[in-house]
Amino acid sequence: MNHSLLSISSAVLLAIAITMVIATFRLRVRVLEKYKAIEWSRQQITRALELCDSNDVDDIMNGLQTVRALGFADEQLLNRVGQLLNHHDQRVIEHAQDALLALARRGLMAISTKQASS
Amino acid sequence: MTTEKRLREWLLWKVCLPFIFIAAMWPVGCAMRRPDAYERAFAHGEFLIFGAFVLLEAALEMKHSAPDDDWWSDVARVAGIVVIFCYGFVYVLVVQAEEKPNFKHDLVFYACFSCSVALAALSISIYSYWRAKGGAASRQLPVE
Repeated sequence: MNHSLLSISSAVLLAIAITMVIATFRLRVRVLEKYKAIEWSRQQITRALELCDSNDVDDIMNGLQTVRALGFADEQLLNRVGQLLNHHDQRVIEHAQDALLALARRGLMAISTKQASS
Repeated sequence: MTTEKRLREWLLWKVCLPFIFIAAMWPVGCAMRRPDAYERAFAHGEFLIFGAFVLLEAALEMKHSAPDDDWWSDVARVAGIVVIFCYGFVYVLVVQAEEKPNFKHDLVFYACFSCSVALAALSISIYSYWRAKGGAASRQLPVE
């Protein structure tokens, strides 16, 4: 009686272990993809910040377009975009306003999505 | 300390290393030329205590690292308590089995059960580690 109970329990536990190992491999792939996406976002933010810090108006506008397309920014990039609202070139100011609008829209969407999911 | 680093240290110091050290009792017994090294190493339920603590630790880590993943933390905690409960029974049964004339045969079954619990607890802990890491990554992601 004891032996068969122990054998069945051991077999069930080993099956659980094998299932968890397979699930772990699948989960690992998804998590590593997320980390790649985080790395990519960081690279894009760094690139956008470098362009926005440039003295060339075309580069600044490229940087602002990148921010607009990304729809997200870190604190440093957000500050820089805010500073560009006082730029002497009207086109840069317009691009900065568009970029901030895109960020605000995405931020509101994220908040509403979070509220809906919670 | 970042969540990732804390999780990595938890997995290494509280899960993997204790497992390796307890598992090493078997090869050590073999090196001492004991014919019943496997039974002597695992039948008394050291791996059950390990499994219970590792599952309870995984539950706590999940609670801190991924607070929105409560159900998995509860599953790990309940599993840990069940393993502790089993340990009491297994210990008493092993002591009784040792009084029998052919006790070595019985101890093999208890040792296999202990190893299965340890392997299941280890795999659940590694899964919990990746789950918590995934939760931390999701919070860092600017766009889902």
